[in-house]
Amino acid sequence: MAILDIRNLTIELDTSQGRIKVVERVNLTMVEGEIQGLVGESGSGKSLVAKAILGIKKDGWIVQADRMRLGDIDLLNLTPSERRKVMANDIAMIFQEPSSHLDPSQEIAEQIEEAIPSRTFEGGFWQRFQWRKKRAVTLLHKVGIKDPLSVLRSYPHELSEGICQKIMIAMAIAKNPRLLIADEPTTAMESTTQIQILKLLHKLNKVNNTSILFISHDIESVANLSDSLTVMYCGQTVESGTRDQVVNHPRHPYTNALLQAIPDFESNLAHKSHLYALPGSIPPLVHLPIGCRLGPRCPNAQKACVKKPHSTRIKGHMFNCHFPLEVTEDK
Amino acid sequence: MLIYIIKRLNVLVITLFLLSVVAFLLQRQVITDFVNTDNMLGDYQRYLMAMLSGDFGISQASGNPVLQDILTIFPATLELCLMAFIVSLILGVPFGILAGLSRGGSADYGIMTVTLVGVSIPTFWFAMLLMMFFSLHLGWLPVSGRMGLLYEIPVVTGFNLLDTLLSNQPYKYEAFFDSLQHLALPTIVLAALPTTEVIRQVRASIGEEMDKNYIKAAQAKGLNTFQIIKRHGLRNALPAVIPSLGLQFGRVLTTAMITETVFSWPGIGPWMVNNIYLEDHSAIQGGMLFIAAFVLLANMATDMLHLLINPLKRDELYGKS
Repeated sequence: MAILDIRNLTIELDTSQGRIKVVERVNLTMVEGEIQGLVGESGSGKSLVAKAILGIKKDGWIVQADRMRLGDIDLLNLTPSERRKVMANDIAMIFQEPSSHLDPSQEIAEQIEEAIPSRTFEGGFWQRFQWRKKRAVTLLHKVGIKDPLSVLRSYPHELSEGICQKIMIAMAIAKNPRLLIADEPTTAMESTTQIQILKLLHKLNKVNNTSILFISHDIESVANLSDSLTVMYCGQTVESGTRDQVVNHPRHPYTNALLQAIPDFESNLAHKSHLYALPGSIPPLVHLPIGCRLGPRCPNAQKACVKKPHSTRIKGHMFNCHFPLEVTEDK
Repeated sequence: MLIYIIKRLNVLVITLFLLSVVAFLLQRQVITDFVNTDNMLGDYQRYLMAMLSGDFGISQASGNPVLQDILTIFPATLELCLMAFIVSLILGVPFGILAGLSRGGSADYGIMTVTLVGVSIPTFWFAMLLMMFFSLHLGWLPVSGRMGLLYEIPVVTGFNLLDTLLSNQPYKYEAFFDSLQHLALPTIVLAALPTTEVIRQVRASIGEEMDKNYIKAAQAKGLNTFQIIKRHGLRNALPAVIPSLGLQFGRVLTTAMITETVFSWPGIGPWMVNNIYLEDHSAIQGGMLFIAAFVLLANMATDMLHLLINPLKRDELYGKS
């Protein structure tokens, strides 16, 4: 059963240059208990999609969708307070830039305890007074913080970015969410911490059967972790499917370009040879191309690309391209 | 932390030193009871020693030591100023929050319009308007003074509200309410300026904080709006306002002098004006030094308070000291 089902999600921003469709008709389907990677360059609207799922809106955002369901809950028909309740119970999010998402004036202890819902309480009433504190310590232990007591007494500015990220994860798993949205959880972190956090997410998925939407710009790290992948470019879904379909048999030129851009150090990479990259750069939001937004940069683009391509679906492998790549043999 | 306090004290000492130099040069121009010789440095040294030992000279008008005069009069001004500050916080904080949360909305426009009127209205005129309406037209509140002549309250602290309650007179509660009534109009007039300042600061601060990322994280935790404002918004927005309140103190004290003169409040304002008429130089000089030193100390105290309750301020210190 699909835990998350989004059809034709469109997010528009009101700017001084007029209304801009930042995210255009994005589809996203997640099966219960899977890790799905959402890949795209920065500015491709990944985080916006995540915030739209959570229902955190800023002024001047217009979010529309044909369908948006979380399990059996229709997110579109909820009042804001019901939506908050759903968020409190079922969805958790790990944000980018963790230290800015912690309240700078509060000790970590208070912030974690605030994230622990009372429904997770087990035990007798005499344990009520201490359990939040104990739970906070166990949570911090779980995410691999060695000295939980001193971290609990600290303010966010006294901690490193990596520890802040772990605290964010601890707060996210405190409510045993059904869906965990991890928005670039490993950026700005040294590689050993990155691996710890990826392992942690993986364990969470296996042990608690938490579905994880893993958002990243790095297709390589996502591909290792996730069961299925969705690739976005400039606010449009480009391709989605299982890991094998997307990584080994990409049908969209953009996915292909992303995969090509990973330097392969095992084959003989010639000294000072060019790495593969698409020509041009990501268009600014005010000058988005019409039709397929990859059009001006696409090596296979033709006249038909000025119209938005219909999505083609073959055995759960979905891609939006007028001229998809041929099916390739296993590499 | 300790280094910061020492630094701050250092600034205070230097400012007071400069202040004393200015005051010394002024008093050298107009010959007072202080004996001046040709040796300027020696004069300054004696002057400074006198000031440090609390000897501001003898007031020619009253014949008392200046410091004694100031100390009997100043509590009245302080009482008025403190009341004005309390009122401005009680009114300013909630309205500031309201305006900050409904930015661009009708509540925001309404509050900011009233605020603008509050800033631009001349103090003496506002005082007279209130006096005419509440005292003369409606007859609810007394026109001037600090307390009715019927009551006789021994001076203990100099603060009327405290003294009435501390006294053993049978009419002490009546006296208390009487002095409250006398306080009402001057307080409102004096509070107008800091209230507008508090509203504007709180509005800006809370508007800024509510856009920050941790508010979004709190929303994602599933807290409701009220909880978010209470636990995260205010906590970060209010401490940022404190230093500017300290700076307001100087302005309030200046405005207090005008207000006191209009309401015949027996504070430092009418006292100074009176001494200027009488050309009582040592009293003018003593009053000036005293007020300036008091404002400096108040500023420093608010800075320290800010340091104590705002952990972020301490964060900034790590980098600087």
